[in-house]
Amino acid sequence: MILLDGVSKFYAVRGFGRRWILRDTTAVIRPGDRLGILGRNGSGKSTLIRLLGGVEYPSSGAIERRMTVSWPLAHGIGVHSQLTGSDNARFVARIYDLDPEELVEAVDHFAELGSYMDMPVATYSAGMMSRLLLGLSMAMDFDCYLIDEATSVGDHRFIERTQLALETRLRDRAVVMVSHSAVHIRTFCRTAAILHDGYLTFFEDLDEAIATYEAL
Amino acid sequence: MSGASRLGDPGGVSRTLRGARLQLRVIQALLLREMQTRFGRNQLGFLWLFLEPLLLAGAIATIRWAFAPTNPYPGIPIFVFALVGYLPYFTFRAIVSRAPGTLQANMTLLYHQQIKLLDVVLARHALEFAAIITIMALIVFGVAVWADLLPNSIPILLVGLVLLFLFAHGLGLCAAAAAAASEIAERLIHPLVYLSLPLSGALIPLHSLDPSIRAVLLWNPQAHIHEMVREGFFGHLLPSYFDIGYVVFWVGIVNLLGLAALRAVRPRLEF
Repeated sequence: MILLDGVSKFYAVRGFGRRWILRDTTAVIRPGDRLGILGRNGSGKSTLIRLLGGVEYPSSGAIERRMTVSWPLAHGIGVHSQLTGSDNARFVARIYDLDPEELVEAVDHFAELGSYMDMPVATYSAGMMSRLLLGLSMAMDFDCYLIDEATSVGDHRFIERTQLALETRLRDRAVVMVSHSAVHIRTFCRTAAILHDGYLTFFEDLDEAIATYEAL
Repeated sequence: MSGASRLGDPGGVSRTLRGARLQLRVIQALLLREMQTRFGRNQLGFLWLFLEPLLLAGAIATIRWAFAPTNPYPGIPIFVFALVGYLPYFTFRAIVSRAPGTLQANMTLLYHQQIKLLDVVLARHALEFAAIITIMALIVFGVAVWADLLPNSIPILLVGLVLLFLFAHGLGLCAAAAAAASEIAERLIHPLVYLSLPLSGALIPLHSLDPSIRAVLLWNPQAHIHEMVREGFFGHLLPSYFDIGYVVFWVGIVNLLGLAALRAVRPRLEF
């Protein structure tokens, strides 16, 4: 479970006072949840996912993680652009106390990057980057995966592979995905919430959430 | 605490030990990564870490020799003297003035919860320390062969360098935290580090100074450290003035301050 207890987050913006990302929000993310969070550009989706991942701290309130949570998977984040895909995998393996070569193999198998595994990440296309990031995290065992929209870029074949993994091996794992695109959310999520003006509104029904979001 | 009583969480000493093992693993991984990104995968680049300060110290020693060819310190080759004075200062400067940049350049690492702010800085500093120890060993070896001058006391030399490292590390933590909290502080760090050079005693042995000026410089723990390093190298060829207790006291102060400042600034970091 991830518990958000009266969480507020704002940034001080010069001349504009406070820009609110979250206002006094209380919520629960349970094991096995497939939650999509919709929000327009600049609504604070990425900040929200960083808060969930413990990268950024709330301005007030508390976030408690009672399950293991992946790092926020977003384009170019958590990997080093000058290092190769393999070296990045080895680094992540060492950090999380896994066998480096086993992880390299697992990522290679899932992401199908071929010879690009030995090329610097800076040379990767957006799709390859998302394959590396998802490959890395899905080869590891987290109770909850945090996915930022950029990562959902991938070709049809890769999206199917990811869906298959989420429906089989990772069936009881939670996924929280933020996106501005209803299509992404529909592909991976079962419930949805909308982040707008610092308010996080939850919907049980995906279609209702998407309709509300599109009417904003 | 309710957290410690949860199943599978032994608490107490074993918890601390587990944390220490985790931190050690993280720092090892960061060191490896730092070396890979800084020097690429070819081993020649690795050599640069050692050559860079050696060349700089050598150049300054040469300039000094060109302007004042008469040797004020009998029995001590001026080149060696300059090297032994400047090298620790270079390391000090490298650690303190680069610490804010280290933090900013590695913010994305903080996406991994295992990696703490301190680990990032510690890994970088450990590398700088490894460099200065290696260069010092090279200098000791070189001087022994060519100038037939053996260091007076390797333990004193080593303790001096370790204290220098710890002092610079603590100040580096303070600098990194200050730069993260305020833009003005960030801009002040470079000039302050440069201004500290004349007060550091890196250039001039305290023995050659007027006692009243010497007393002023001895307020600066850095001056004690440079005196220690010279004592370790030259011994009674050059009388030295230092108080280890005083240095240890200041090392403790700046490190505690640095850790507290880093902790205070962490929740305010924006990504």
